[in-house]
Amino acid sequence: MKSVQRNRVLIAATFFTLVLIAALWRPVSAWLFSPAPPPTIKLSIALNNTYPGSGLLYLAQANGYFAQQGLDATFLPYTSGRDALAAALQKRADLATCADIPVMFAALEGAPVAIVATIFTASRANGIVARRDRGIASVTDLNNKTIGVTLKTDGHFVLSAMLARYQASLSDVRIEHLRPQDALAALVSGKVDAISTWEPILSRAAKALGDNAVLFRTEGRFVFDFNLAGDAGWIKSHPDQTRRLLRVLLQAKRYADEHPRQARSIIATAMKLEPGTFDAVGPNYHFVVELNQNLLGMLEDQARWAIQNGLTSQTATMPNFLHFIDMDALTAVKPDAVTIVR
Amino acid sequence: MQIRTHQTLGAVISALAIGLIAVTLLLSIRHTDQAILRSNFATIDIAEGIDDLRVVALEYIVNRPERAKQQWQQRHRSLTRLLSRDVFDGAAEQAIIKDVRQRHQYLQEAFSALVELDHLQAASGQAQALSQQVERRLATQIMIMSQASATDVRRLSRITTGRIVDAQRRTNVLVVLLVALIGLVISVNFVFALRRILAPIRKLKQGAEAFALGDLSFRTGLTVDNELGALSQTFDRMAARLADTKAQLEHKSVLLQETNQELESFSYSVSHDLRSPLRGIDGWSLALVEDYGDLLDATAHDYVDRIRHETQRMGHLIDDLLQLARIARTEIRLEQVDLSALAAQVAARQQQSHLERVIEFIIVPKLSCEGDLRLLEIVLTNLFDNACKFTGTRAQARIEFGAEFIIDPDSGARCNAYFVRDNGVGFDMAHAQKLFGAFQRMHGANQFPGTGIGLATVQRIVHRHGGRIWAESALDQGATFYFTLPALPMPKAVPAPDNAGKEAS
Repeated sequence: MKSVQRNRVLIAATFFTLVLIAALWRPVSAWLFSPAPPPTIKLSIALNNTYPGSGLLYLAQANGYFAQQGLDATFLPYTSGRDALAAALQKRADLATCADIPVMFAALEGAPVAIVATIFTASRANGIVARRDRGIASVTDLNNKTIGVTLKTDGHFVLSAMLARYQASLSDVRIEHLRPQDALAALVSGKVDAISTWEPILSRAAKALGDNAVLFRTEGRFVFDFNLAGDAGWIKSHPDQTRRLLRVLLQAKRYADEHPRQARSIIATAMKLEPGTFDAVGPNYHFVVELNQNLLGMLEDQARWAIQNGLTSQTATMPNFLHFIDMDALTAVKPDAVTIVR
Repeated sequence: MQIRTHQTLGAVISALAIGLIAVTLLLSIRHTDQAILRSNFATIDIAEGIDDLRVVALEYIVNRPERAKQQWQQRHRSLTRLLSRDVFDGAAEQAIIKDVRQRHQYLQEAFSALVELDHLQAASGQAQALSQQVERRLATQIMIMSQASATDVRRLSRITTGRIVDAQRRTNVLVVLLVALIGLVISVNFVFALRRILAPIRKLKQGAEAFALGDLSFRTGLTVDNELGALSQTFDRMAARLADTKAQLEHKSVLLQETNQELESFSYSVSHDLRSPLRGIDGWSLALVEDYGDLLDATAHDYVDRIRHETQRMGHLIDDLLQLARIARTEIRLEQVDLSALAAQVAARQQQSHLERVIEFIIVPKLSCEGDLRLLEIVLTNLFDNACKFTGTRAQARIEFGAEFIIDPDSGARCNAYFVRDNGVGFDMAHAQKLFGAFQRMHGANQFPGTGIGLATVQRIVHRHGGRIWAESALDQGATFYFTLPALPMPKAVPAPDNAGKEAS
């Protein structure tokens, strides 16, 4: 009788153990058969540290996602994406974050540039801040005024687009090239009558001028991408690093989607941005990790603008921007994030 | 725990668990339906609206028909209404719809700007070139935003489809869980029934079988805390009491046997020892008549005759008593006995003893049984003797011997019984109980002579054969004595009266 009872206990114990193992199979198998963590690889990223578009990278760094993917990342800060991309193309950094325009110019100039992914989109984040005391009340009042811009950036493009909307061109204004970090001071000091720039400089300038400020924000239809880009050769020859970095960014995006408030707070702290930076444009900031058809449309629109305004010294023909987008890495990591027609 | 409590508790818990899962299952099914509705809303309603707007925008950009402008406005309004509906509950879906809504508004602004641009008169060639630039840009922006919205709706569709799959998976899991739960309930009940119901029942069955085989030492020894446990304990107590009672009865039986043996020895000794003086009295009375008969007058002769008659009667009495005592001590020797033949012999002897009478003996032939021939002869002799005696007043006596299928008055069961029937004076059934007692008589000795020991002897022999004896009668209606020999096989069928052999004198 006792042995029968012992047998029953044994059968029950075996049954429950099997059930438990089956229930926890995935974790158990993950624990048992998980591959050893990949060896850490160094990676340097040149990034625009003044624009929230680099936010995902800062969030990833703050949350330790680089280490999890075996990346030892170094951030090389620049005040504009244009300079950051230049650093990557000059091999001072492995990759860079920048808007479409620097990539477009590099492409027009025949540089071996490639976009790996769009990591941020924003509308209503660009615009012009003008001094009211210079007689500026509307966009048409900008005629013959001195306007500070960082050449070959979104600020330059936005100024042109806004003027065109009112049938004016860049030749109708005086352009003063300014580094992004100098724009605010130039406007406040009166060295320029207006500046065409992006957030958060835009809000800072409006705030600094107070009642004297006139703000012309781009309309919602102007969507500006912010990308992860770099030297096409480097990207081709370093698929592992690129994919790991994309995984890091996807992890950060997931966190930002699930905890938007915390994510914005972490980014603002890491980038030393004003707490209200993300609220300045309402819900028009989006952290993404994607490559879509819009990118081509934007690049072409901006290339057309550059060519028409004689901003490029090279060929006046529209390049095929498909050759400047490297879809391999993102396709490998997250195929459904690539919606470019193929 | 009592079986009833356990079963009730089990039923309640099962009902609650199954009810809970059933409700969750229903909710899950509802959830699935809602997910399908949302998915349809995303993949059909919104996607169609975006596609429609794209088509008419393209038509307007290419050919500028007024109709396309109107269609745009109309479709934009209807899609705005559709987008304002609060359909999605997930944070991700809400975020996407929020983006689509906002882009939808930007689209309207871009389309309006395009229409507005058409009304603008270009002042110069440069202005015209700028207008073209802006128009191209607006067209690009409309395309980009439409594309972005279409992508968003695809994402939305993927999420909602994912939710349908999740809901269905959840439903499946619940179904599996429900089935597993029912299986568990059945298993638990089965194990419970096995351990706490069937095992005690099996033990009780073993106990009952042991009892049936006369083993009163069996105890279930069960300590199960339920009704069957209580029943088992009662069974054990009953078994203990029965064993005690049996032991007491056996003890009493031994005492009784001893007493009976003593009594039988005593009566045998007394009877045996009495014969000698009795023979003396009878002998000396005879000597008195033979030697001094001349000296005795008629009265003296009568007295001596009476003395001799009484001594002879006492001799018979002693013989009968000796026979009764002997029967108790005699070992039974079983053999196949032809009862019909035996009855015929006894009847013949009776005929010889009563030559002056007309007695009809009717004996059913071919009745046989297993028994002690000598004792069965005593039975039939006594019964036939009785029958002859009590038919003495009949001009034509009739005595039957046979077998019948009859109800045993004691047990109420039907049984095969032999009988000896006469048409004599019979007796009052009120005194039937006294019939088989020693020295019990229904009639006066002067009316029907006898010792009153015959029927006691018959009863003892029948009992020693494991049978029963009883009588049925009514005054002046004759009497029938039935007896059974149950330990021994009875004739299979009672022959029809037509076939009955008849012996008559």
